[in-house]
Order: sequence, then structure tokens, then C-alpha cells
Amino acid sequence: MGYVAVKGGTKAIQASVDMYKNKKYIPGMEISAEHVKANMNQLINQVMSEASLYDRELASHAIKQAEGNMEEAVFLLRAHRSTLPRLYYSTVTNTREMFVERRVSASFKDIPGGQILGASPDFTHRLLDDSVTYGSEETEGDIPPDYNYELNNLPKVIDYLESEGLFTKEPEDNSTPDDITKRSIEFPSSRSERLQSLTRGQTGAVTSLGYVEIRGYGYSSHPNIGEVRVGQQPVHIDPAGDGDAYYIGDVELTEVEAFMPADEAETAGERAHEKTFKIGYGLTFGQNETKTIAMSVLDYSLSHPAEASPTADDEFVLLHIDSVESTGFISHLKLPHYVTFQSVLDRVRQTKGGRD
Amino acid sequence: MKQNYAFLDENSKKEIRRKTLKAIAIPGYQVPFASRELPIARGWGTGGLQLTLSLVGQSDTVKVIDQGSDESVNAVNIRKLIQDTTDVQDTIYTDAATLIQSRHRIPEVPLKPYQILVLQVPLPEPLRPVEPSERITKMLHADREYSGAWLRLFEQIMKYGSITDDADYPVLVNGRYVMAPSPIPRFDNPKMENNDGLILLGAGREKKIYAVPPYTKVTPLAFEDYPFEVESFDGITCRESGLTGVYMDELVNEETGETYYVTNDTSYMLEEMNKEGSVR
Amino acid sequence: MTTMVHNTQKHYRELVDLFSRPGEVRISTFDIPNFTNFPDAVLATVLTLFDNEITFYTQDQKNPGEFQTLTGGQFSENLSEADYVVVKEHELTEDVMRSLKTGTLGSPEKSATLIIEVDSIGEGRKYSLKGPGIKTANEIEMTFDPKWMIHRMELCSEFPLGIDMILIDRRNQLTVIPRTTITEVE
Repeated sequence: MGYVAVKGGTKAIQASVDMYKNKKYIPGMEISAEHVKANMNQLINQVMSEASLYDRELASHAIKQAEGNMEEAVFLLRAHRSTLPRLYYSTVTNTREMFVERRVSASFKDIPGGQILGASPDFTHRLLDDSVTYGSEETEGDIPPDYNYELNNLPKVIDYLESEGLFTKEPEDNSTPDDITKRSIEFPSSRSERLQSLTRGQTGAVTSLGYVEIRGYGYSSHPNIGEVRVGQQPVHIDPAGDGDAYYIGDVELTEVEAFMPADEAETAGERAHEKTFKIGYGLTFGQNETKTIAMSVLDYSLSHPAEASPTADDEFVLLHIDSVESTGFISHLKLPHYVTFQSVLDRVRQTKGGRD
Repeated sequence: MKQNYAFLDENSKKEIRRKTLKAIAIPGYQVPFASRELPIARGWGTGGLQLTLSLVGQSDTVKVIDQGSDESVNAVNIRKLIQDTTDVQDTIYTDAATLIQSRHRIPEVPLKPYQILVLQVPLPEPLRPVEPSERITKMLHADREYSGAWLRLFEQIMKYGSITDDADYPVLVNGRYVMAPSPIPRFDNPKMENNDGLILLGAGREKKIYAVPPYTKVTPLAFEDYPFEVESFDGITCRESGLTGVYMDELVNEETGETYYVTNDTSYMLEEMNKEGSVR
Repeated sequence: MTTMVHNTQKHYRELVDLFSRPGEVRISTFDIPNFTNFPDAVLATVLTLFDNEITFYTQDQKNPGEFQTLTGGQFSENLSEADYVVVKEHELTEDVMRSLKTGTLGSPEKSATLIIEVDSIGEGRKYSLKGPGIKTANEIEMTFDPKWMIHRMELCSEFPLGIDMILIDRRNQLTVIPRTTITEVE
């Protein structure tokens, strides 16, 4: 008999890739990554945050290449991230130095430095509007406010609570964080592992679980948002470790401090029956306010676990919110599994045939 | 965009390499590793692929199979990524490969000394069906507390009259660690025992690397009166090649409705068919 | 083309073979400017495994700086913290052996790898090796004092706890004795 060769897969896969890549663009309608960058700011923020990679150009490119598919865009950036050497950790940064573009407090009507509404869709009416245009005129936000504070040195609401003795600041921990992308997360998790998992988490997943926590399965009550601030945070590195740090640029961050009224720790003896404020913290790349608030809720629930609450279980929360992991595992189910299914058939038939 | 040799940056490879050596030194123990995202989806073989990319070099010949076939779309896709980033030689012949990446099968041709078989692992924790929490399963392994795994098999016998675990049947490695052999059929479990090559297992999403070194004891969990059983292909002959005693795919003839069987390991089947004086 | 990428890959594969087959011997051909006072094969092993995520310990004064500059690895004076301990045989002491970390039952991989320069592999005391990776028994001769091997057996007596050893001689020959190997002096 003649020579038999394997065939099939290579051709099929090439044809499928060709079909996918050979998109039927309408002439003149193709957009460039620059167009994405100029128009899809909020999408870029979400992609950068979930990808753990701060680069607006690359994020725009990923969004274009993924045809706007969130999970694909994040996936592209994450895969690219795997090819980049990571040589330094930034020095400890203080968000009191953030150049604030927007900050609101839900807890106090008037806060030192004032509420700064900035640019936000919060108070737009969500009416589909086919006449959205881009303004070229100067708006009020372009004019620096005339007051006694500097925007890169605004006090924090938390400072007020502390000065009133209502909040005890945790001792500062400036040790190098555990980087879960360099060493895998271990349980029980450290706070830095939790914060990193949450900030990379899929926006929808983090928001859902944050909602679970406050709606009925954990804290089951509102946190009070002390402050949401969005702005440009300067980043420095200190390669020689001699305190001689270099400024390498700004990243846009969203930061949330949520106040949770809680019992004073039992160890405080006589004061055990007093209430105090505990804090939940959220910090993400770009403007991602909902996700960051949800993150602060989950930071709290994981650091102060309530009994039998799923959102107090670090494995339950942190191992299931990663976009690349959850979408990858779910989608792999469409891969062929006929070897294992044959094994299942064998066992099912065995039980049908019985055993004497 | 410019790509690194074997895709990953060198520091990522170093971490995978350090963990792999530990895995070989502690047979059957799941070593946690950071696990990088790859251009192939998590759950589609990124654990195996990270191992392969950390191992592969210019003098290698690579074979990639999925479901026993070199031409399965996922195998083609993974091989393409390896070759696009390394230009390494490939083969379909188990015997000619230095490095074999596989999903769900150990080839029919026995491994040779110095060959490396990399298995893709979706769920590396053999105790997961009895315990959802990672910190607890880690403790159970530490304490060598495997009564849950045994009890599970016992309960299957009570309920169904036989052990119903199908593929990914748990094994005890070097008398110490209960290990998930990846979803290979039970038919392939005995190939792990005391074999000549090195078997590395990688779970990308679950971030674990583990290993079965050559000449290591690998025993499926079973009871004396309910021994370990492989899938039965008794009396079944491959319709294409006439082979018997190999793992088969069960197929249905669309026209006649008749069930027939074909050798699952396609490259082995071809090799046998192309031999002088083959069965067919 | 032979670049660092390919050299370290090749060296790593030698290590993979050696870890999987305890007692086998390979010669490293890794060629690199070497300003340490260790053989090239030791430096090759360091370059292959070290980066800024690991801590190492070594005794001679000039080596730490060289290892650190080349790999970003962190030098630790505290032996019991070190992931990798790089020493010459004559620098071994009971204290050194006793300080090595052997991991925990939950995380046995958090243990030290000992990289030891010996005078010669191929001549010296004869050791017989058994365990995973060895078909029946492997024999190896090397100038390695049996008392260190006894210390090693003690550290490895509670598997999975233990240390793994990479032994390298002045002619750049390497052999590996992982924690699973049972050694006997003949």
C-alpha cells in the first residue's frame, strides 16, 4: 500500500486565520490606532488596568487589533507584557503628590481642598445622541482654580478622620510588594498580592463581587467613600538603591479610600465596645472609578474576613477575577476532548454493564 | 514587533527553569510558578508551552500533538508559535523528537533516554474534587493526608460497583505525592512508571510545574479487590491499520450507522502502516 | 549564532538532564569572560539560574559583586536565607551545611541549591547512587569528602525536605545529586 501522510489541520487552521484577518473593510472606514487613542479613552483605561500595562499607544493598538473585544485586547497586552524584561520596582509613591484632575468625597460635604468634579459622565443623561461632537472651546475645567491649594499637594479626607481620632492609621509598610507576576500567589495571601490581583481583575468580575459583598453576603452595608481621586501620579525609580531616584513619568491613577465603620479590635481592652473606621483601598491604572470602588470594598472584605462570606475568601475572589484566566479556561472547552471522552464512555459503559 | 527567541524574556525563562529543576528534584510535587501570559489562551496549553519555550534550543527537534494527532488544530497552532519564535526543526515521529509537547496522550512509542515529554495540564490538583481550597490541599500534600482521595474511589465503588474515574486518574509518585497525570487516558498511566524519558507537566492557568523523572515509581491509586483498569479495547481492531492493543478513537459511519475504531496516535499508525510488511 | 540566550538555554538543558539522571557527568563548553575565582561551568550555572528574584551566598570577596553585576541576584550574608549557595569544597563547614534551608513540608521547593566546586569528578572517592532517575545504580568517582555527603543525607532524610547539589570540577565537568538520591560511599 502507498505512503500515508498526515494532513488536514495545518491547512484548516491557516484558512481560518486568513478568513479572520482578511476583514472586509469598507473603503475609507478603517480606523488607525491613533483614532482609537483619540476617541476611546475610557476603553483604553479599562484595558490598561486589566492588562497591568500602562501604555496608551499599545493599548490603542490592542483595541484596534482586537476589533474592540475587551478580553482579546487585554489578552494581547498581557502576552506582550510577558516578553518585556521587568528590571526595576518604582520607589514608594505618595498619592498626596498626585496632580489631581478629579476628586470627590461622599463622606463630607466640604473637604479641605474642595470637591473637584472634573471630567465625568456621572451627571450626563444617558440619552442616545447621534449628534455628539467634540468641543474645541475652552471649558471651565481648563482654567486652573484660583484657591489656596496646589493640585499636586491636596490633603486627603482620611487625614481629617485621623486628626479627629476616628481612624487609626496602619503602620506604614514600605517593603517591596510581592509581585504575583514574578512569583505565584500563595495562600493565605499577603495584602500586596490581594491588591495586585484586584487591580488587574476583570472590571465586571471585580464589580460583581464588590456588589455581592455590600449587597448581602459579607459586609452587607454601604461603605462610605472617603475620597475618589483621579489624577497624574509621578513615578520614580532608584536603580542604584542609594536614594538617588529618577523621575520616569506620570501615570494616571484612580484611587479610592472607603470607610467602613467597624468594631474596635478586641485587643484594645476597655475600648473593645467602641466603633471605629476601617479602610478599604482601591487603586487602578487610568480612570476606572466603579472598578476602583469595588476593589476597595473587596480589599476590606479580604482583610477583615466575615465568617462564611464568599467575598471574604481570598482564593474564591482572587483566583476567579482574572480576565485572561477565566476567559481562557471557559473557551478551552471548545477544544477537542475526544480522548478523554472515550475514557468517560468506557467508564459509563462499565457501570451500565455492571460488575458481578 | 520584534520578538524574543522562544517568545519569553530571559528572566521569565529563568524563573520557569529554576522551578522546573525543583520539580524534577521533588517528583510529583506541584511547584508554584509565576506563569506568564502567552499569545495562546490560558487553558489552551500555556503551561506546557511555557515549559517547552523555556527548554527549546537550536539543536532540538520538536513534536507537538493534541488528542494523539500532530495535525489537530491546537497542536498545529502551538507548533507554529514554537517555530515562529525559534525556527526549530519539527517532526511527527516520536522517535526522532528531542522534545514532545502533548495534550491528553502519551505517545504509543516509548520514550527514549534524554527525551522530554511535556504534558499540558488543565487541573493539576488531584485533590481538588474533594477539596476546593488551595491552601487546604497544599496542607494535605504536606501531611501526606490522602484519605480523601482514597475515600472518593471507595465511594465510587459503593455507588457504581466500580471505580468511575476516567482520564486524569490519580497516581502516587515515588511513594510520596498523589499526582494528577493530566487528562491522559488510564491507558497511558502505566507508561509513566519507570520510563526512560523525563516527563514534565505544566499548568499555566493554575501556575504549577511538576515532574516525573525517568525510572520513578508511579502507581495508580486502587484497591486489591478493585484493581486499576485501563480502557478496554478488547477484540477491537483499527479499521485503517489493523493495529490492536493501542488507544482507539470511536467513530460512526454516517451512512451505515456502524461504529468503528481507528488508532488514536496517528503518527504511530502511519509509521506502522508504512513499514515493510505492515498488517495492511 | 551563539549568544547568551542560546548558551544559557544549552546549559540549562544539561542541568535538566543531570537533575533527571543523578550521577551522570557532562562537560560544559560555555565560554565566557570569567572574573570570578570559580571554573567557567560554575559561572555558567550562575548565569543560567540567577536573576534579581533570587538570593545567593558565596564566600570569596570578589565573587558576590561579579555575580550581582552579571545577574541582578541579591547577595545575602545570611546563609539560611540563600536560595543558592556557591562554594568551593574546602569552604564547606558543618555550620554552612547546618544553615542551609531545606524548605517546609508545604513548600519543599523553598530550599537551597548547593553549587560546589570540587577538585575532580572522575577520580577520587567512589559513590554509588540510587533513586528516581537512576535505573539500577549509578557509580561516580569524585574528590568529595564523604563527611559532607553524610551531612547532605541528614538534610535530606525527611523527604520532601532537603537540598539539591550541583557539583562542578575544575575541568568544567558537572554532576547533580538531587535530594531524592540515596548515596553510599564505597
